[in-house]
Amino acid sequence: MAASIIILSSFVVGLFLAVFGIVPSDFDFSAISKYILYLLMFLVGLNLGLDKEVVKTIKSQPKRMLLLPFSTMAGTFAGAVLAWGILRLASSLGAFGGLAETGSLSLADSISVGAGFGYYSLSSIFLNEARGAEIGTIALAANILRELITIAFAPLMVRFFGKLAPISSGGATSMDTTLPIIQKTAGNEYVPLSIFHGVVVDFSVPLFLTFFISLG
Amino acid sequence: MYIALALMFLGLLLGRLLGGFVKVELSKCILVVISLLLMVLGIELGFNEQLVSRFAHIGVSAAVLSLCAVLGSCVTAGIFYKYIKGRGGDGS
Repeated sequence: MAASIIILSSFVVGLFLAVFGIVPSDFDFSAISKYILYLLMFLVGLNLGLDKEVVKTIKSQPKRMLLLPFSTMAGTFAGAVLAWGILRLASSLGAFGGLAETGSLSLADSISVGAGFGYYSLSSIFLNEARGAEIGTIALAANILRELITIAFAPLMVRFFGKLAPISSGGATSMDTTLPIIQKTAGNEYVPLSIFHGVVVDFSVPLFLTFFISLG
Repeated sequence: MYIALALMFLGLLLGRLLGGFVKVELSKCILVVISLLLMVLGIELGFNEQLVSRFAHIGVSAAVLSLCAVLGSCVTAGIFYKYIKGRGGDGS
């Protein structure tokens, strides 16, 4: 959780720096963010490559359990399509006090936001670059919420959907930030699966985002 | 975006090659870079007045999206769990 707080605070600090005009507005910040993103992607790959435990963890899993990430992806995409439908319907009915008016949110955008799987930093940066600040911010908020919802409702998820549910709900975060709550609610024996699930889903985020962004 | 992907695979490859020789703790480094990126994202956002005025819209869209994504993945996880258990215990 400490890491999440640091990351979120940085976002808020940046917001204030701009709103109060502390940094110059004619500076090309999007070019900077692109190069920092490149550095980040390189480091993420390097970190994964250096970690010998990842391969061991994958090998120790029962074969069929290894399909769990695909179940998570299918469920998330179905959910994202449903969300797009709900937002469309609410928008045309004027529900939520007119706040569901989604502007430029296309079906591909909705699925792209879902394809963040809780990896809010990467998905928001990718979508900010490719689809603009509004979709980037929706991705940031939606994927932070995914992590928070998982932490808050993991016990209920286990009760209603079984022990794999908090792992799926955690998405890419099932290997770090939501791992403690998964361990607590599903049990120790699900920790290796949870880490494996997190690694696979985590790795899939930039792949899916690149694909869905190309669909426009 | 393809450049970003290519760099990730380059890192992965390099990590595999160096794995036996180097021991570095990269997660702190990554945290710093992510924080820096999110700060820049915050700055970009803060300068976008149109976006600042649409915060409530963004919140509603984000809430609906995350709730549906969580629900969808829980439902498929539930089905997957039943399938695994139905085919014999530990699923090995």
